[in-house]
Amino acid sequence: MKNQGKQSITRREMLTRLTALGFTVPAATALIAANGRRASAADPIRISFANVFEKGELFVQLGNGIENAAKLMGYEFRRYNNEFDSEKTLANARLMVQDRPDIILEYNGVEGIGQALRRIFDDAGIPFIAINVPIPGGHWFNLVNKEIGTDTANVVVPIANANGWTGNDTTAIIIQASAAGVEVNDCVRYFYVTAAETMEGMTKVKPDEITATTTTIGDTGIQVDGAGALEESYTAVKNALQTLPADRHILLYSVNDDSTLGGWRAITEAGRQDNTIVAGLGGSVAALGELRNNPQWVAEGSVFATHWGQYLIAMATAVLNGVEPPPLTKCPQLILTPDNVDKYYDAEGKVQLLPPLVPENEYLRDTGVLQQFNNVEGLIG
Amino acid sequence: MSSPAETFSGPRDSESVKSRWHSTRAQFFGIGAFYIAVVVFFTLTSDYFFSYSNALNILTNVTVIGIVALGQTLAIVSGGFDLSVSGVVPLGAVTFVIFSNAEMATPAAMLFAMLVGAAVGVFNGLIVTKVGINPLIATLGTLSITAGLAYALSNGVTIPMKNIDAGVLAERTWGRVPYYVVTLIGLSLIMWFAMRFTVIGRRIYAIGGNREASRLAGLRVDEITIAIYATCAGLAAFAGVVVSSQLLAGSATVGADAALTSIASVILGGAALFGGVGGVGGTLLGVLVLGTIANGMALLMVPAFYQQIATGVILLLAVGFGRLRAVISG
Repeated sequence: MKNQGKQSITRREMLTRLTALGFTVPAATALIAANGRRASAADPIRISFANVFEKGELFVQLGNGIENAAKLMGYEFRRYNNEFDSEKTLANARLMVQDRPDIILEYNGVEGIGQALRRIFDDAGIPFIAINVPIPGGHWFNLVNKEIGTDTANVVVPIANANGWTGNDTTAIIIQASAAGVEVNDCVRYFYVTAAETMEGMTKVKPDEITATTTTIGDTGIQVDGAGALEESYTAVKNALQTLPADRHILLYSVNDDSTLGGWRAITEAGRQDNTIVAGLGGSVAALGELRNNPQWVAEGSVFATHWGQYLIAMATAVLNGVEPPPLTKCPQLILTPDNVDKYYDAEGKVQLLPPLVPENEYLRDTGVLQQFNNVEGLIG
Repeated sequence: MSSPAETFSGPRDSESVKSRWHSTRAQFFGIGAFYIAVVVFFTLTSDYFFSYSNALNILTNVTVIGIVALGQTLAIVSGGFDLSVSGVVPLGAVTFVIFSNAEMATPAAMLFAMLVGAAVGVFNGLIVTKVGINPLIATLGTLSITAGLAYALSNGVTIPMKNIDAGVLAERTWGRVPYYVVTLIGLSLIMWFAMRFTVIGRRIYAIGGNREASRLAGLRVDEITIAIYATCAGLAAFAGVVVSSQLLAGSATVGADAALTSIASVILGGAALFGGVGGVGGTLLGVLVLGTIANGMALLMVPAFYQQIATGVILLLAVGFGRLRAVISG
């Protein structure tokens, strides 16, 4: 009872503060149509969110972004940590349905337990949105790694071609994170496949020919496993460099910025940076610094993970409003280059503008949520 | 060759330690022979293995674990072990970069990072000796605390080193050998000398051989144990400094496998988990075996999954071979 009292005071204080901002609670109420769940100051929308992990820049910022977006909209929010563990994820799912939220946002890192999660949520009759890893029967929000890898190669390879590099003197080093599964590693697979299609002399392969156990792709590709981490990627690339002649050009790409930074460090330590073109993925502060200051770092894929929250809250609002989203709602994603980075990120690495909605995501516009944040290109009032 | 522990043990203990000592020597030479076989195998199967640059590559790859394993040797020889190194390495890495980015002089930043590690070690030692908690549980607890601290201090993000001159340990000296490799060699020599020829070294063996007998013989067992854990964690923090120098960044994700790999190296080198035997030479050999196998398999482009399996199998075979040899030689 004590806790309940304390909680209600906190909630009242929060609502007072948000109401004082002049738009949040009324806006939230107005955003729910007559056929959906109607919120009020006394009975706000309740969202439960289970984060895949509460460690690492990406996951912490993603969780904070969702929490901040929900609170900004005046929604009641509870947060859980799945700790990348299947049993913990299921335990959290059971806890979440006990809370009887209006909707659940589930970031589950273990693909095989999707059916078990679905049963828990369906039995409780609570709609849910799966983040990143799909859950059968749920709505799905994710980046499209295949597109990011392809788009990055389309920036990197023309620069290499302009330098006169070909498959005869160039090797693509791709750093996978095998434990993360096929979807995550699509970015590096499609990077190589696209690069091979657009650069003369590269060994051409089909995407499914590059698997978690692939280590060499003809004479023009090397895949190492950096486990998505700085130190492991540094060591893996250092070893791979032993097998490449010193004058061979290198295209370096990986599944995330920590991996790319580790690989890049190995390359600079070997004194081979002038022979290398590198592209990152993630939009971390360190990588954006490289993109701005390092002439060899020519592209940086960003999925704006810190701002997924506003899209997820818009998506949740749409679902509660009775809208049926497309099978996959894509997160905002863009390949940054030295020419456009200042448009989207400020000097401190903070997002100042998000790319426009893709056509499939236009339904998010109708919720009015994104307009509240005033940072999506094309939706700025 | 006799164990220093004999001085403090009764006749039956003395025989037991003597037997263990011979077993360790047998394992040391067994692993030495195994290492030569590994080198020959990879030389024959990979065009890139037997070269100066790859030898240097192996040394640079094993330095961090080598430094951690030196400290782990002290802990294991004294009859304990330290799991918290997996948390102290990232804590040392992150604190070093934070201090360095706060424009602290590089030597001072290194020293403070090591002091942070040593403080964790003192805490470990106090819990083990004064509270009487088993080292496994005590250091498992501090592993969690220190790893969490590293994440908290870094906010979970990789912190780039603002002043890359702070990565001085990664600078190359004669023969393109980085300073951190030279540092590992220097630390190893100091520790080898201390463990083999000094009173404190004999006392560490004595405590590991028979803790109670050592206490009855008048040794300040608790103080020495605390000092051992402080040294072990201080070295782990220094290993974190080395990782940061290599990467020119501090990250809470580094060193995750430091505890298991360092313990495996020490055991592979002939130390016994129950204490009293082991040494710097064997540990370094263990570190080199694991590092060389990882390097060789990477050069042979063995997929990461199979590398893990192969490393585990080789570890078991190597230790098993050493034990078998010891049994046969009586």
